[in-house]
Amino acid sequence: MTRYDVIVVGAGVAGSLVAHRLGRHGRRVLVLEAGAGVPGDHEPSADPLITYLTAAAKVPGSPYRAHPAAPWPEVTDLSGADGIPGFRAVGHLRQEGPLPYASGYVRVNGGTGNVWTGLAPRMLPEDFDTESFGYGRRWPLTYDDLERHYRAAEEELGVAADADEQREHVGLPFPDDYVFPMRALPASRVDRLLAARLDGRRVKDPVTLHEVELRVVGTPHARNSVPDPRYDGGRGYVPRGRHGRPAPDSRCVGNASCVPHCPSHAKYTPLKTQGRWSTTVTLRDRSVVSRVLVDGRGRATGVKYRSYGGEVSVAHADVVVLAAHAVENARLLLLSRLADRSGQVGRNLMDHPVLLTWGLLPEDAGPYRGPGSVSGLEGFRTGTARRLRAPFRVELGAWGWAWAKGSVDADVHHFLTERGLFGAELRRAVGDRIRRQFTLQFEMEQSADPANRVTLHPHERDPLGLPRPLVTYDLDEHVKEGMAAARTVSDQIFSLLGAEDHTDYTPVAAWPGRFEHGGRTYGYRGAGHAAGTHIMGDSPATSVVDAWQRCWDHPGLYAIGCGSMPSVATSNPTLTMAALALRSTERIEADLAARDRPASLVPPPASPAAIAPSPIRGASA
Amino acid sequence: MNKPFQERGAWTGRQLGTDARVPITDDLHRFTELSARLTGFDGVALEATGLAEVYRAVAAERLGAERYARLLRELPEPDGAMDGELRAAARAVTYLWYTGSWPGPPPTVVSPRAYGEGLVWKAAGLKAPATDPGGYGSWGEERDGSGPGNGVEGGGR
Ligand SMILES: Cc1cc2nc3c(=O)[nH]c(=O)nc-3n(C[C@H](O)[C@H](O)[C@H](O)COP(=O)(O)OP(=O)(O)OC[C@H]3O[C@@H](n4cnc5c(N)ncnc54)[C@H](O)[C@@H]3O)c2cc1C
Ligand code: SF4
Repeated sequence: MTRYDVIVVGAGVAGSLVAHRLGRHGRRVLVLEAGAGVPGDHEPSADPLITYLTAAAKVPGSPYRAHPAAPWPEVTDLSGADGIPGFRAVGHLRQEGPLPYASGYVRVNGGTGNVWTGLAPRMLPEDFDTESFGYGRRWPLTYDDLERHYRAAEEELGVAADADEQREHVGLPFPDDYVFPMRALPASRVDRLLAARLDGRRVKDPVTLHEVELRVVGTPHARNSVPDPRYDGGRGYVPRGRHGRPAPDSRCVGNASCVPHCPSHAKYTPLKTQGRWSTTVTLRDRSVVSRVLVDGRGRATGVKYRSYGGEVSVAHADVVVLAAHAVENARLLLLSRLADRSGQVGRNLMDHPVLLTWGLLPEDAGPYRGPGSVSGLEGFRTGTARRLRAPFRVELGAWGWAWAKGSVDADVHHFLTERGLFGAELRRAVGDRIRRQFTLQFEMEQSADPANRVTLHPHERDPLGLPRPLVTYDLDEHVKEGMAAARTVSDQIFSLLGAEDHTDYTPVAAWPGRFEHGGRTYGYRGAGHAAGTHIMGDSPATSVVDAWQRCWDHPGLYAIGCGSMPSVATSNPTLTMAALALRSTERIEADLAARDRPASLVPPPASPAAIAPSPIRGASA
Repeated sequence: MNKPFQERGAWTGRQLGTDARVPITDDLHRFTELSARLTGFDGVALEATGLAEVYRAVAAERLGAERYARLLRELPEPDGAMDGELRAAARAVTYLWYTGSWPGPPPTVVSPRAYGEGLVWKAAGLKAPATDPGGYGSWGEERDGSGPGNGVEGGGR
């Protein structure tokens, strides 16, 4: 019978990294994963590329088919409707708030990290404490506390970026000698066009009345570019390909399908980390964890999980790490009735609500040829403006109007049915329209609000009999003011570019996230950046986990992932989440090392429950 | 960024054009001719996709023998004079060529190849995502780079 030191629930980015690092220390780790993966191959069963290519709707989950036993919310589960609330939600994630939580995730081996875009910026030092700006929650740790782990995360994910550019134009305090594993990706055509017309120009923020200087800045990417020979004190970096194998020549070749699948394996996915797991790490897929088990003193002892057929098994370990994604982590804690002394489990659900604006450039924008966004505008992320409106990062969208309007099929449909074109005219119109398309993607910081929450649905159950998650969600004035500012910034940018604005939040069905503010209608999308559901803090009275992502009341129980983040700031959150996970791993390893020291060094047991030998027992499945 | 493209529905699973009952006759030539008129791409370009035969079968199956025959027979100059039924059939066949899928809801993608050969991409001088990548750095070039990786160095912005 195998004995485990650690059980990790969920083999996404966070879980795969923790298992990898602990495996390197020789720890026996059991990874229980709800989704499907082919044993020994680490890949979900059907060929994701073919499934994706033949999907009518090329949505994030389209390379995979959900098994009924491990369903996930897809963006197509939401649709807009007239009336209040103006949307409908079906499927796995039910909703009852004033506005929709518009993001999904996937439950296959590798998790949402299979389908993410791969943008990997750091948070800024000031993002760790926005209380001085009058909103949000303070982190129990600082940027400096996390700096070392950021570097480790950049190594694990293989980040391509230019440290000088990040220092100078984003304001990150990189030491002089820091270089990223790989060089920044070349700018896309739309980046170059925008930079030529915007760099150095100023736009007025209507909320703060400040002028903000525009500059197109490369975004750090977790995808292969040219390795930097200076990395790691001159030892360099070897890009990783499929399953994490060394692939010195692997490069992002511009498939333009990173969401949801990179056929050339240039983009980081957790399968790359899994490919490097030591033999002490065991993956058990199709295993849906339904409960965390604790002993009489609240110490984690293991988990209960179900096969797709509903058969229940139990596994035991000294440490249980929940890494099932923010929404599912909260669901698991609620199902287990654990860790909720503060009443904050499931609360503070955050995302980056995204305002999209889109139009046509006067010339060829070169869309659909590389990553979804290579660069952005960074000038709206910081400073006192945050007092008055949500700060935001602007991604320059390089895939035409895909996120706003669906695939190019929508353009064909438009010209055929609304304009009645055929033949040469159709060909010219379609070609011209698509070549000139671009999108601005304003990703708003949304702060922690206990009213935005995940609970268990009172009677809707999934096919395994587990209550479905139920979300209540809304946007506050701070976010809405941010969107209003973004729209005005967009108007000014479009005029500097001489671009035709086609932004239009109709039809209603296509925009479940719609609201009016100051007499103008806005539509938003979800960024997929779920956070806050097991929020981190410095007191068990107000937070669910401590600065190590340990559940306050349950020794040996960690809840990791974006669910721990007290703020999502304006950075795509996964790199920060990965840094936190690596930091927690050090804590877990230290706990295990302390356990393994000679008995005399261990403090005497405090109650009879602890007298039992080290609570490692074999997994009973 | 996240990219929840707001399209409805999912793939129905069956590959179209594989069990059409319409016998292959010499109407393939007439179908291609019609398609050239509808799409604005000439017969050679259409045949080069390798899909003319498949699309003929899809159109025949989906339109039904009668409407399909009428479309071929009347070989419309696509213009305002077409009646509703003919116009709808002409649009469907054009949509098929441009996107590789039969219109929905939800649209049905004929095959991975059909998706990759969609005329919509050719009209814009592009390659369909995930089908024929341009190589490292190709996204920064002036025109479509369809060759292999060209070793463009990063960091130069
Ligand atoms: C379309 C899209 C684009 C994105 N782009 C970016 C980006 O560019 N940059 C960025 O920083 N972030 C991005 N994100 C967010 C990013 O994907 C997430 O932050 C990240 O994947 C979260 O990792 P995780 O390990 O916490 O969760 P996941 O990756 O979702 O992994 C959780 C795992 O747990 C498993 N699981 C769930 N429930 C159970 C259970 N009960 N028992 C056992 N296993 C379970 C799941 O199957 C899954 O494998 C994007 C998200 C989406 C949806
Ligand atoms: S652009 Fe293409 S090669 Fe590059 S990461 Fe995206 S899908 Fe992969």
